Amino acid sequence: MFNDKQVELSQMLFDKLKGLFPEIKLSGITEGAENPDNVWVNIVMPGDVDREIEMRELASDISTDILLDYGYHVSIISAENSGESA
Amino acid sequence: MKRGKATTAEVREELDGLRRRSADPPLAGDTEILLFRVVRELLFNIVKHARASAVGMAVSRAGGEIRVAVEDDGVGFEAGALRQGPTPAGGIGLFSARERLALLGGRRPGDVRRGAGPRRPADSGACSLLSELLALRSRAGRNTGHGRSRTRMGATFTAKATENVQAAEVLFEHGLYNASANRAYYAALQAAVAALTRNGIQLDRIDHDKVQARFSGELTHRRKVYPSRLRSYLMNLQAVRNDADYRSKSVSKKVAKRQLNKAKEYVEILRGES
Repeated sequence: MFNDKQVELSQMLFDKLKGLFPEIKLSGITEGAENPDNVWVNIVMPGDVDREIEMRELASDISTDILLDYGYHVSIISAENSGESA
Repeated sequence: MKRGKATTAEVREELDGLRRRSADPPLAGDTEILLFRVVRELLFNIVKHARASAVGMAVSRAGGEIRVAVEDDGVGFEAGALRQGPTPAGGIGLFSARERLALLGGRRPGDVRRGAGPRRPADSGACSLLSELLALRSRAGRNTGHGRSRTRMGATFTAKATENVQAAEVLFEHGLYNASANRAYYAALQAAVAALTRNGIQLDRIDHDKVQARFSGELTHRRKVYPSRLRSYLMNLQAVRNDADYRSKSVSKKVAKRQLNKAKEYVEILRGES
């Protein structure tokens, strides 16, 4: 499904977010719904909405760097498990 | 000023070099072709009529204007002796060149004058043959078919972006936060498409990844057309839109508000360039 680089970049994205938002959890990586070449890093989001907003800002910066540097679209998405949050 | 024998290839190379070095948007294809043909026509007339031993050409571009100066050390000739219409070899003739330049907003070349022998144009009031100055307003090819098409596409997508911002606002006011987040993203995407088009970046199709990459890479990073803080807006807006459309968890009011404000800011800044 994904190549080694995509997996590596997905893990890097999560690790960077985890470093600043330790409450988040990785649920797995999946293909994008509209574009299977896109990687969705499924994350259990912070419970606090301000923290969530802050984390999304950081995630989008990292994802943009990945897109420009490596050409892969790797982004975060809420883990699909009944609206659970960290 | 480049002097000496100028071949067709060298003229092309000079124009290509100017295009590469220029920070301005590229010329429309037909503007570029006309410019090349006009310069070639001037050089042809020098070869045929001027009995010149040296030709100089300078090309410069500044302030939306392209200037081409062609000088020679020949004897000059009567303007009426020049070809007026198309040539068997496919040249466009000086008269046609003037008319076509006029259509693109260019100034007509000055009349050539008959000289009395070799002279340096800078030293003489009666300048020698073909010290023609062509002023061609480039305006990113606005007067050409390509330019008009780009302008239309830019305007269309700007209008759609504005419409979607308004839609996002209305949806938010009605508590429809998922739908609002969806429209907020599409407003930004369409604004980015419009911006790319206006800046001469052609898209074969509207691929979300490519739009994001071209906008961030070209317009915020390389060309610095827009503030660097906009570089990841599309990615951010898209991620929330993906949550809104593909996850059972709903987008919260606070997040939806944040996305709406981002989209409005983004569209406003990009619209300000048109």
